[in-house]
Amino acid sequence: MRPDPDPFLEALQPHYDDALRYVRGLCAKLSVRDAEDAVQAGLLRAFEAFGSLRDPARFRPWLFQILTREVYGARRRAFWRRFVPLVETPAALALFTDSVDATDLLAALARLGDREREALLLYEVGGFRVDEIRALQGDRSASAVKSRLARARSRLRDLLDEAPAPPVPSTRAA
Amino acid sequence: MPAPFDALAATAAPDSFDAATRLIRTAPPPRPRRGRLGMAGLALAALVGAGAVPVRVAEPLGVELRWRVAGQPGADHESVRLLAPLATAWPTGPFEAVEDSVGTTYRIAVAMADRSALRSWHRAVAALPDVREAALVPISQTVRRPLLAAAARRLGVPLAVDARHVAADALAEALSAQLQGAGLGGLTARVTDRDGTREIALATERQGTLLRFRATPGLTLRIEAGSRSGVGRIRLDHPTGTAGPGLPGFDPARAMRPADAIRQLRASGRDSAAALLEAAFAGLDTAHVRVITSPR
Repeated sequence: MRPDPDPFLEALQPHYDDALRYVRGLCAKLSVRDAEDAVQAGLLRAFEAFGSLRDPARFRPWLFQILTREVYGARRRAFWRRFVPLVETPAALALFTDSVDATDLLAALARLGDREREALLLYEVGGFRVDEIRALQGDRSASAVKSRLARARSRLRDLLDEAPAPPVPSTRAA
Repeated sequence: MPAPFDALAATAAPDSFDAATRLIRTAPPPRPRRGRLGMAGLALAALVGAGAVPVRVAEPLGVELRWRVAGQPGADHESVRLLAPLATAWPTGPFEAVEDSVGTTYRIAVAMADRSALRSWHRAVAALPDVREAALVPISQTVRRPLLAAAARRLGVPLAVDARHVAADALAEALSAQLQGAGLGGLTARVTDRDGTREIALATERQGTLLRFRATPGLTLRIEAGSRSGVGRIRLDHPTGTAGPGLPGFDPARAMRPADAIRQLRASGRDSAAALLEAAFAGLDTAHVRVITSPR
């Protein structure tokens, strides 16, 4: 039976913009197309699983966790695409546009470690607290998250100071 | 550091929430989980099937001890005396002494044993003034066995045979197979049901030398241990004090001296038949033998 989409959309709307920014940052190594695929798959997966969310107050971390998994899934698919030619289909959603302003940031984020990039985006874009990031990343201690954030900030600052930045991969014409 | 991240907002297309709303509203019903379970089942079946594929693996059988001394062969060599305690703890192959124009080369194969003991023997022998060279040479055999069994062997999975509802022949076959799989060389099991009891005899055969635990009156180890599931009765027959060919003080029974085994088991409170077998063969290999119970 198809669930009612309205409660899900109502819960999604306040977090939607931040979720997009988070995914775009997390997909810094991927193309715009892959980021859109990840958002689309993540939203559909969240919609399917919305009925199993027991505490509506935890919608935001729950949504970000689903999106994170989808991004890593998209990265795996992007890897296999190198070896298996896939038929390119237009994305159902056009969610992102290339922005010159974001080029340097995306290039710098792409050079961070996965968990560092994830922690930094959860903190800066997602607005999560350290203890929430600890839970989302499966860490035992908050100090590990704090250290990771400090490393990520320092590295990002250094990378942003470097010039010129390498281009961010994109399959969409500018 | 919020400022740089503001740039990400510029990447989101305007009004994309409307597009996302259309996507959600027109999304097909959730896919049934049955298909995924089916795929998981197929993947598991493929894994199990792959585990049954026979592979060729080199498995260690033991170590050959080899050393050269100056002079004629003789049992009075210090190196030979150092060998005696080692050879009484584990089954050994034939003891060879080959004389040539400049000295004597000794060789003996030792079944899988405690590596630290072998290394200490090697150090002691190599330090002797008349020993020119001493070496530990691994002996291995190439066998074909299912992938999972080979992996289990590598991981040191203990033997486990439940003999409660198994015929004697089938038990002997299963036990022998597990002993072989555990690297216990030519160790074979023979099981006999007689007068309502079950006897298990284990024999070790090594190239050139037969180490057999024979039924010798007066030297028979017979242990009976009761348990809730049945009576475990294991009989290990062996000769004692019989010297191996060419090896002074050769005593294959030392690793399972009956009185010592019984005393140790009683002291530990583990007086089951399975515990006995475990203790009896503790010196033979690193394998563990567990759960062997005969019917009432």
